[in-house]
Amino acid sequence: MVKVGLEIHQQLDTGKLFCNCPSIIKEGDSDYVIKRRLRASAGEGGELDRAAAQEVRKDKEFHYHGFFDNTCQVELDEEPPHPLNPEALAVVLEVAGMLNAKVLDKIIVMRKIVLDGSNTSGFQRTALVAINGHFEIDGKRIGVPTICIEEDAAKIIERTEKFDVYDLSRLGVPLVEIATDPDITSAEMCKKAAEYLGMVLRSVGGVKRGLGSIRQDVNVSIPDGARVEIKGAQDLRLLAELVENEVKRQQGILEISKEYAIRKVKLQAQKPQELSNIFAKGNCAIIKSALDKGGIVAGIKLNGMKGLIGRELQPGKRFGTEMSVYSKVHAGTTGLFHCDELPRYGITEEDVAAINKVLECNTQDGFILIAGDKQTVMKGLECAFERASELLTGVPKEVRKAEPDGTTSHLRAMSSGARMYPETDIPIITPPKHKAVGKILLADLAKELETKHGISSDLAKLTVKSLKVDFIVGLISRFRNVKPSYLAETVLKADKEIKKEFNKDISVTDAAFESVFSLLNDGKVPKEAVLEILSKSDKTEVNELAKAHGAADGKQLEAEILQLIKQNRDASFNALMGMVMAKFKGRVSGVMVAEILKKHQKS
Amino acid sequence: MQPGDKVEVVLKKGDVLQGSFIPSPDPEILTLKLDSGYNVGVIKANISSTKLLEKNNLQEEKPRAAIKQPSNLPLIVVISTGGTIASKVDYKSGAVTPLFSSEQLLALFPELKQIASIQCVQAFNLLSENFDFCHYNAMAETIKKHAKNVRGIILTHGTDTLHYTSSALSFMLEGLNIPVILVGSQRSSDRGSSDAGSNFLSAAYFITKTDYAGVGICLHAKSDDGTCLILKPHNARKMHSSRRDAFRPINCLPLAEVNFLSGSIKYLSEYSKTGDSQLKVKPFNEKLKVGWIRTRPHIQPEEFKAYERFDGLIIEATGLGHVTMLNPKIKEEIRLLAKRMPIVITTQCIYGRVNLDIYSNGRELQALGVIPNLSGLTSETAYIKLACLLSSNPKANFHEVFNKDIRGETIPRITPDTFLW
Ligand SMILES: [Zn+2]
Repeated sequence: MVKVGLEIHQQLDTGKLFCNCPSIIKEGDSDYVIKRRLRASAGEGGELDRAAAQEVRKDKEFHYHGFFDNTCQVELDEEPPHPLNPEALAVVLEVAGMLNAKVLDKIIVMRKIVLDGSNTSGFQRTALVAINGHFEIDGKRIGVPTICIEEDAAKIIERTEKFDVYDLSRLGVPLVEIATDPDITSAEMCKKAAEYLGMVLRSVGGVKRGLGSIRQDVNVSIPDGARVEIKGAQDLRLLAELVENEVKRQQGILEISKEYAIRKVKLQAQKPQELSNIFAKGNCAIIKSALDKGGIVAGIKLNGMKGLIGRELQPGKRFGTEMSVYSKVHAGTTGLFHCDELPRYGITEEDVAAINKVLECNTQDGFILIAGDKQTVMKGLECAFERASELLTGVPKEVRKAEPDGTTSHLRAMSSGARMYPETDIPIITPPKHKAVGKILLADLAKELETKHGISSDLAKLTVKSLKVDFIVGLISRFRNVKPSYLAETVLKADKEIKKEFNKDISVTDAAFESVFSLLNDGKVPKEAVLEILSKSDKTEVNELAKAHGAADGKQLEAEILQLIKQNRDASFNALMGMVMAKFKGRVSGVMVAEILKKHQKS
Repeated sequence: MQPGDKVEVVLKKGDVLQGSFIPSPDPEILTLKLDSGYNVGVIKANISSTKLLEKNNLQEEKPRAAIKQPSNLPLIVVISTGGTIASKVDYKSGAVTPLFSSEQLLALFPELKQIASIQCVQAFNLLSENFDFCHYNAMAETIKKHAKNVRGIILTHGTDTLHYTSSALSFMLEGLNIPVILVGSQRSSDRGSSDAGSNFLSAAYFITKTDYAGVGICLHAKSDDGTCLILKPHNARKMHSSRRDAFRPINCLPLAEVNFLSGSIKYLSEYSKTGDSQLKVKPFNEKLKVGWIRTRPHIQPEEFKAYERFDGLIIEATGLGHVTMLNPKIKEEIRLLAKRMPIVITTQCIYGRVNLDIYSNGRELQALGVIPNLSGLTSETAYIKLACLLSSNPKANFHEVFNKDIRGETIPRITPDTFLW
């Protein structure tokens, strides 16, 4: 059975975590650029931290683009952090309460070492806030071992050989990180769990909405497989697919390694052989372009691998793809060819035969080819071979990147535990005694809207997903004379309806809604006038607009209707109705007119 | 429990925590480092039981094999006085401790091996805000002891009072024939973004390539990484509480700019070159009391009176060097003090020169017997220079000697490009 754990990072809608900058993301030309470098710091014993030394390339420069609006000296690592933002902590405490987690007595802010440049300081500040929470999906209890508060990193804009460019806007935006135990046992359950957590976060409020504001990482393992972390799923809909595809991949790798074992061969280290001669006059565009640039093409034998390299592991991704991506990431190659996809791409059957001859492949043996400059090619072949032999012994523990098509690709090896040490610039925090504010889960609220207020299931769901949910609930409780579903529908759809009916772009304000509904509640404007009044509410005060639509005097209306009936003795009810409504456009309610008409038409 | 012992803590609420024990400064709190790397604090009263899982197998730090340093490279002696220039992190306990040995330093900044041969000496380990005149004497003696047969000296120093020390050492070290560069850091070396390494390397490059003789300061030129400034010892000041480029030249240009990636040096000022004089230390009188008063609106006469038993006084005045002359009590206090001790008037404007001839207030102040700082010294350097002069000759005619140049600290011409450099 598959075991899946989730890790959710949600941006909070407060100011930044360790300074007074607003957490707004800006785009466009930055106000300034600061150029920095990072060094590996001294670890235990004063020696250079080896892992850190590997991560940091001394000649790499980082260019930080910043705006004066949303960055200060703290983001630039030119000023110590301010005390942790209490508003952000309050949101995280609320989340902890909703997930039945226990808040720790003391919160200690840590520095997690990050040397890819995404943090100007060389570390990310993070703190464990609560432990041992849980929630339920389909009756199954899912553990939440940790809930953390942390600062978001700067956003990568561009990577080049000499420098990486980052935008500082996002650096320091508060995040809540929720990690689950690997208690999730199916792709479907994983999706539901992520949806549930998303709903909990929206229920609490104080979280950012929209693309990029929530990031889901999943870890997946199958029996005999290994824990694989998948990073950066921004779309909830992809989660189930990612899990399914990862399960397929792990199963595929296990099958291939079993099959290979049956072949009773052992992958033997081979020397890469240059094959440029074979392709000197060839038609393969990729190889030709490499050779024209003074590069080479070389190959390596993979004994006993024929037929296995082309085996699909994920939709569109084969065993060969695993090797290809690995050598792309670690050797900087652009791709590879493998025996199971040839002849193709302008590589002929004769070419393949010639390759087999040079590499001394028999019918069971496979091979791969890489073209490019000599150094890259040799390193690439080495990497690809390394990957093949790794996969033949089982599923490697690693970090993979979520692709938009629901597949994943190798990102890096799993780091051996985060290197953390205390952030000495922030005193230890005693969390305020957490009072459960009693936020209602949005899922429960939707049910309540349905059962108590007669709102349809679809509209109720739409309401709780909207940013206006609190506003709508407030309107419902205050304006008892107006149908709840009408209130919800109007608030959610007014802008669109106005566009449709009056061809006008407007974003109706909460204040305008309030005024209109208040008048409607008191019978001072008819329902029919609401949309028109709202459509003009950007230019004129609602109460002013309402005057033109003030409910017609009842007696005057009755007299007018009698007059109309007399003048149009043969007109049908509907025709009369139309006449009255046209005359009193927007000032009378249809119900009232119909009532009067019915009363007098009979007589 | 010993630091690093693996323990299991059961809380009264039933939750179980496992991790390494970390000593906590608060006796009410138990701190654990969980396997995830996070530290957590638990109030001891909330613990129901604690169990030792595994003793920390304390490994004595092995003495590191001496790194073989090529003897053909110039020798730099590194004297550490404390501060954040070199430190290491213990990820188990999270403690940050200073580094002292040459081996540790070379391991931290491996590029040093290509620049110079390094020998480390520890003078003391203090944050610079704790320094007194006695520490200046100790530093000067340590420098004198190691100044022979070396290309230069790097003195690592906390940044808070670094510009006082540079000034003091420069006055104390008569006949100095080598560069002595004070290196500080605004971001400690336990973080990847530390400026310690680049400042240190810049100082090392400068020392090995220059013919400058004297004391200097080396820190970042800008917020960007790339270049460091070598500043003259007297005419520099910490102008920002936290930025990397906090140290700026005052009323003059920097001595030089060093690119710490290429090691190239660009000189921006004239400087004194190495000769063959004899190094002598002119120590501070450690018992000396020199006061410092900053005038401002609503200043009280008692504040002046407080210094009546002092040996000297700096009045950091407003503008060109003005003090209120409307309050007869203040005037009288200054007059009395000036009879007992040298009083030097400096400006709290930081930039620019004192001139007491322009306004009547200034002239009245002069008539009380004060000495205007006419030579463009910073208040900090004026303070150190006055203490230095008082130490070597308390009976001197300070009106005559104070504005005389000793080590190139006086600035006869303030050029327009120096402001806010
Ligand atoms: Zn900020």
